[in-house]
Amino acid sequence: MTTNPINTLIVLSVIITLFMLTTSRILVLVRSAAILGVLLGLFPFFIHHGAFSIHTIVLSSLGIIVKGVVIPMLLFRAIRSATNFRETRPHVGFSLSIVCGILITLISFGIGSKIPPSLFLPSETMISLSICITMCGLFLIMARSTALAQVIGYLVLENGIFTFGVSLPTTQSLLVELGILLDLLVGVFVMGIVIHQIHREFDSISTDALEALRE
Amino acid sequence: MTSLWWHALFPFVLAFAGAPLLLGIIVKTKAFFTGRVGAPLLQPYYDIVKNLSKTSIYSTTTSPIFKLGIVTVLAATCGLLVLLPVGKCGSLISFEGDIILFVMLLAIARFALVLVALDTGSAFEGLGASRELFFSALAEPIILLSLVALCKSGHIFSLSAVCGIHAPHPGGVSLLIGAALFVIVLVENSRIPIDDPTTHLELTMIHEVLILDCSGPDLGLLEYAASIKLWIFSVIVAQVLTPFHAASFLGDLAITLGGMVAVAVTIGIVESSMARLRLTAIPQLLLGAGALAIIALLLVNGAFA
Amino acid sequence: MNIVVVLLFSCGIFIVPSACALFFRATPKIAKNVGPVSTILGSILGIVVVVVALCNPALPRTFSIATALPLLDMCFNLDNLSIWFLLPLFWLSGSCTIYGMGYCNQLSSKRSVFHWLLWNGLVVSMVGILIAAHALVFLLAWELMAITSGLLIFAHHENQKTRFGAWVYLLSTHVSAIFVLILIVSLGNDAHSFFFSDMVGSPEKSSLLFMCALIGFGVKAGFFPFHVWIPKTYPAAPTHVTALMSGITIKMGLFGLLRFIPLCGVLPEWFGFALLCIGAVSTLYGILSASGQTNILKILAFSSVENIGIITLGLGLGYIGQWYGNVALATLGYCAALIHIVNHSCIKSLLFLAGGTIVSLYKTSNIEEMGGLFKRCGPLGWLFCCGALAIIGFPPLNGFISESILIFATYTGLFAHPDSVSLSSTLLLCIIAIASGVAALSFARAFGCIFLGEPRSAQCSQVKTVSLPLQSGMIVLALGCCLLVAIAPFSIGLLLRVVQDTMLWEMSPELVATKNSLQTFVTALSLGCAGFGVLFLAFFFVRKNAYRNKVTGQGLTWDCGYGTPTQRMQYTATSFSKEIILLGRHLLFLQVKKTPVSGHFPTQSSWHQKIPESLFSRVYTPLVKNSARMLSKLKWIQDGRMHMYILYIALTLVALFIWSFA
Repeated sequence: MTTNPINTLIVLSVIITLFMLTTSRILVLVRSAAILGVLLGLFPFFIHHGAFSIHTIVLSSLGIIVKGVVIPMLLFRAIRSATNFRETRPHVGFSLSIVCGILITLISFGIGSKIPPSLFLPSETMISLSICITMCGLFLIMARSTALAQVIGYLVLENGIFTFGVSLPTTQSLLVELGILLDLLVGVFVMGIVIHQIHREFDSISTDALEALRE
Repeated sequence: MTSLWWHALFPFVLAFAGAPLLLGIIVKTKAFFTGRVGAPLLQPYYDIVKNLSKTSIYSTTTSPIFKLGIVTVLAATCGLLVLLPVGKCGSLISFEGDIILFVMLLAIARFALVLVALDTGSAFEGLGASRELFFSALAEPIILLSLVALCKSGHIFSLSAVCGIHAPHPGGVSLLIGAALFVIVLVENSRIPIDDPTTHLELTMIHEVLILDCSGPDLGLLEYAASIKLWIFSVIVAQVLTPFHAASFLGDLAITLGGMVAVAVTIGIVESSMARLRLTAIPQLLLGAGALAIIALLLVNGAFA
Repeated sequence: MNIVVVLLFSCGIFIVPSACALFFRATPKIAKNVGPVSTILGSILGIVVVVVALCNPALPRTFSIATALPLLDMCFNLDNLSIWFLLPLFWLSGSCTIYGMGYCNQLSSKRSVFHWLLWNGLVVSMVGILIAAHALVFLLAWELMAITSGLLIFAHHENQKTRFGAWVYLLSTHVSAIFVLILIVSLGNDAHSFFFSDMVGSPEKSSLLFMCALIGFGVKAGFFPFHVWIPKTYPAAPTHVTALMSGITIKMGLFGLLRFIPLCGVLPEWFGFALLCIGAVSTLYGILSASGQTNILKILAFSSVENIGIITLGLGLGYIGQWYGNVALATLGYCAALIHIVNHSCIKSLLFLAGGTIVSLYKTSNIEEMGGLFKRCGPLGWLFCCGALAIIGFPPLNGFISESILIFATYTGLFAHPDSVSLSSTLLLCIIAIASGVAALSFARAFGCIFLGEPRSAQCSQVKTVSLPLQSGMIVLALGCCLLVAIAPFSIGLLLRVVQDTMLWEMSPELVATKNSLQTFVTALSLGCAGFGVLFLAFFFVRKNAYRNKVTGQGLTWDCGYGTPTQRMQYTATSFSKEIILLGRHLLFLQVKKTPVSGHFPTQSSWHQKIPESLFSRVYTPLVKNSARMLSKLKWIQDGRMHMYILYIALTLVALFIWSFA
């Protein structure tokens, strides 16, 4: 049952995603996001049962490089520039976050099992995984207050979408490319502009400070 | 090879004889990592014998609950041992649903110890009792979920699923549950990073503070019960993590014993390399272990099939 | 011999002598004791009748009295479900009465006579609910139960809190009655008959029926959104009334659900899941609240909410199993619920009797001011300890059996299809385990603060012992707790018949297989309990042997070198559960007022925590107040003049004429 590498990957991804909900350190969060990115990037290699097309190889390597190397490096740089803010500062406590994470996992596997498996190539579990990761990403965005943690939340969310794309038959894999584009967008947009701006303006990267801008 | 009923007596007797040895191994490992010679391997035995030969002083605050509580701890711990299966040797008594009795005996031992502590009226022991029950309320679901996951993968609602002779556990499940149960070993046996058994500050202890007012044979018996509990949990973890079985039941026993020594050494290594966790971080650790157990159960459920 | 007639005769034993006692004004001593004695006799006869009915299934079990009233046939039927509930009812009414005799010594003779009349009326009304075969008889008994129990709570009406508690109870019990009325009328209307045997719910109305059943019986049972009356009412009522109510009266709500679920026809699929959600929330919320209370009676009240939640979980699993055609799951779920109903009624009455005794000894219900009672009042300590162990679900007492069956049912649910069932079973397993852990915490806390350590206030060091009738009432219940473990294996056959009859199942091989596995399971558990007892005895002697020829000394509790420890320095109940309460603060809407420790030389610090009954104060109170304000605009209808009332009657008649001829 677990000799199947896909299942191992899925279990590891779920564990890492849940782990991200529990950690209080930004550095750990970034590292986990990188590992998650690499894990998910490995999926296309296994899904097509060794029938590697150029398409798959390029796609997967691109995903791994972007998520496992480029974006974490950008994030690390951003952390270095804002040295005082290494904790994620939760809106929702870490214990409650784990409980929510467990609930999200259960619910998404419940939803995933309702979807007719024929629609998707490898298994319905991939869909469950993508829902799980997406929801956890949303949760991270909601539950953490620093911009960096929220960016990572967004990244996790995007990872979920990527997983969804991977689990579709290859003919529809346009979605996957779109996902990767979205990745790049996140990296460039957020790193370069937003964090720097927030930090300069408010001397903090907590997005709660942005509330001062409302009318 | 069929297993005979008297095979189950082997591990049972062995547990009574060898339980304190595991504590000795942990202490030795810690001594090795700090570059000391350390106490002799048999020191826990000496301690127990010493305590048994003394007499006790009871607080004037205590009531009969104090003494009967200690008896309950012993009886429940022995009950756990009766139900515990070891490899091909099996357990002395095994029936469908014994895992519930197992979990409940675990809980009642803990509850009795807490009452013993509360009976002295000491504020420190009240603090320890509160923490003990708080952590165990979080640990109980993990034990139950892990055991149920093993049962489900073995298709038998009994503790004998733990030793995996009916159906070997899938590797992923073993790893996840092994990890979750290892956390439980640390919690239930009051090891670092949850509790520090060697501290001398009453405010920071959990298990040691509960038996603060016990002395003489009572203390010795409780220490003995605690070592048996450590034995029981290391048997379980060792069996979950060793997927292979020897042909003969003695070989099987040897594998399990080897696994237990490994568990004890690992505990020693963890204790040498970590500090006690902040109290607020312990629920997170436990919830994390709970997440592992749930994922394992999902895995068994075929969610990842 | 018709068994129902004998049962009705035992009802007569309950009612008639205690009604006659009203006229024995001259001899107050006799008048006072007529009521309780007739209750005890009636209960014994009732138990005998039920046991005879069990042994001779061939005896006729239906009986009807024709009345002149249209629609109302006094028709009774003693089926297995009734028997299942009648046994604990008679057991409890007997033992609570023994306790109540001690209690009523303080009352004046006139009051006590009324008290016992109402008390017997309550028992009889519950018998009526259980054996009714006609919906209107059921409704009549339901109302009688509401009124008698409401009036019983009013016993100490001088106290403002008692009046408030009783009003809350009356209000909620009438809300319950309204929905039960709607349910019954709607079912009866469709069937053109009010006999339960004729009723079948129509599918298009299933949602309405479902809502009515859930609210009507749920308010009575007291699970989550409808539990608000429980913590208000229980502390207000006399001890043995609370014990009877928490033991069996609230179970009537569950009986109603069991009685009407099969009649409502095909309920929606989500009914089972709704029950599961309700049960899960009640369980967690109830036990967490219990662990945060400092009033012993409120601790017990919230623990009732938890246990009703556990029973509801069983019902939910059963219903889900039934819906998906999973016989094993359905049977185990319903069995868990049914067994827990009986077990919980015995345990909770015992605990409430003990709790009430503690309150009357200490003259306070705050456990922060208690302590050290065990050395002063040992028997009470053992009885409370027995109840506490049983309610947590520890072997070798009865709570263990039912909790194990529920876990067994959940385990079966893990294998069930579709995945939503197995996933919710996973979640359920966590919830049950957590609830049992927190229950251990909250009862260790209650027992520790009341019985162990030293007295925390001067007043409680001068506690007297408990009188014999009070004790013997509790002892009967504690015996029940032990007895239920021993007879559990023998009751499986009856249990299965109850489930089968109630849910109108055919006998199938699957059912037989489930029965056999349940039988071995429960037998093994009972034997396991016995084995634990043997081990306990063995180690008792091992320990004794270790102390042979040794002289033990006495000393102070280790005080960590501090010279003058005081009793006030013991760990408090609030601190004991602080961590778990803080972990569950989101569920409890915890309010904390604190002055934290600060600075190098901290001076004053404090911690006040309050678990607000938000649902009561934020939702129900405004609801009741606003509807009272709006309805008060209709007060002009009741203007006090006879002419107007005659006019209303005339108008109603005309309207009815027009309606029936149009």
